Amino acid sequence: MNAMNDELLDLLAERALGALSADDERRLGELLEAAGLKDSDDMDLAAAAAMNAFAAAEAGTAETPEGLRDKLMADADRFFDGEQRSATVTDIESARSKREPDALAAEPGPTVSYSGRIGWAVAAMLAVVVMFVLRPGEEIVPEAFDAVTARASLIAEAPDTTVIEWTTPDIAAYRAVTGDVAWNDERQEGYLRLVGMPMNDPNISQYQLWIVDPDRDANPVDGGVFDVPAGGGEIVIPIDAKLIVSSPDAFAITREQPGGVVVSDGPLLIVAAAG
Amino acid sequence: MSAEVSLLERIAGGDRNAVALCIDQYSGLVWSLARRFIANEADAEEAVQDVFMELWANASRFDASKAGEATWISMVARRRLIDRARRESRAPESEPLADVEHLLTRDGHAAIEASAETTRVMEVIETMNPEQMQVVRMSTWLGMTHAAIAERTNLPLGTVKSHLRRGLSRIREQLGVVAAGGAGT
Repeated sequence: MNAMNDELLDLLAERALGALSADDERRLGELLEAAGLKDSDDMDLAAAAAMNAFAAAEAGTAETPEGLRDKLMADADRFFDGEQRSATVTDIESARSKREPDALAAEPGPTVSYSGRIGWAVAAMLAVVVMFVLRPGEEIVPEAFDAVTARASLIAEAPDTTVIEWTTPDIAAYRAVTGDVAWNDERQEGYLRLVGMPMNDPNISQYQLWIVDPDRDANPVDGGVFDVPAGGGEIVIPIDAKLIVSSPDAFAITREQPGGVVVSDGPLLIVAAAG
Repeated sequence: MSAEVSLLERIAGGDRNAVALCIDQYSGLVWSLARRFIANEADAEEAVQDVFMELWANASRFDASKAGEATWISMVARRRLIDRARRESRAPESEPLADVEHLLTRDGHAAIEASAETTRVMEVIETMNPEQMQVVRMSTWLGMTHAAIAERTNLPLGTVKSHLRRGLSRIREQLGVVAAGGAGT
């Protein structure tokens, strides 16, 4: 904390109080880096503590509505059961890849687990893709400012760039996620724009991008893994397709073990499907 | 220092029993906070579900040496609710609180109880001069923007920001003291 000057503390306080502009956010990043800090939630904790103190002094707690506990328990069951399923499949595939890494594409795999309500083309397509046969994703490093500029340049300079909005299956934590995918076949360049994506702890799990390109392969292409920092603001992430993608029909994001997986059983958290 | 393992640490360690306990202990707190930001009950329920999913995904980030469990959970909820309000293009304070105040009661859940940490934080707040205390209350409790606070109090915007930074810094220092004493939860 000694490394924090008044400007840094001001910006951390602004962020904690929901008053940070986009310019301030960039400046905050610079100051944190200069102070040798990845981030600091000190002011967020202080704001929450003050809020709780006033709540204890002036109010109390409202009765939770009937049925909310059941919904929370059901969400938790889905969340933790899903993590266990992923781990199981990952373990199997990890062992398999060590045994015969080149034979993966020929082997049948587990059916994509898909409990959401995406009632359109990508659902049918993914249903017949019985296996994601890919190498574990390499990390996509979010470079907020440069990626934002690069994405804007791509869209402005390459009129054949496709921009597809995200659609969210019925998973509570991701219902409010918005944004889009910008992709250009010729340049083999693209960007994810995500707003409101829940943060992840990279020590526990990472997001992984999959690119569905049936012209190239029946199996989705690994688009790399990436992290989402706290804050829930807009982030732009460059796509790092491991193979040439000619005409992607859809993009999907799953949450996997750190480093990504070779085979995923989902669930698909958010999806962007071409018309 | 208490050797008791927090619910969040148990959840991060894979203890499923702690999940239900966490919901029982903190859903009232999160629900109350959601209702301060969101007037519509269905939207507030959805927001609470979002908050708990974020708690499950990030339980391992809880650091008992920095703050108590209720404070950390409130921080996660507060961030999520502010983000949600921002996405819907409205400031958190724009939801009139008067129409949900009647829902708040001292009966029922005791989630926002006067823990040692909350008590100490309140003591710190009470030592602030009235002007600073008012600014901190308007911002953290009422959710008012800096500009709205400046207008309401007739203080320069810079003074409002200064009060908030110094006020939160003092509270932050106290959180560390309480957590180090093992009374953080």
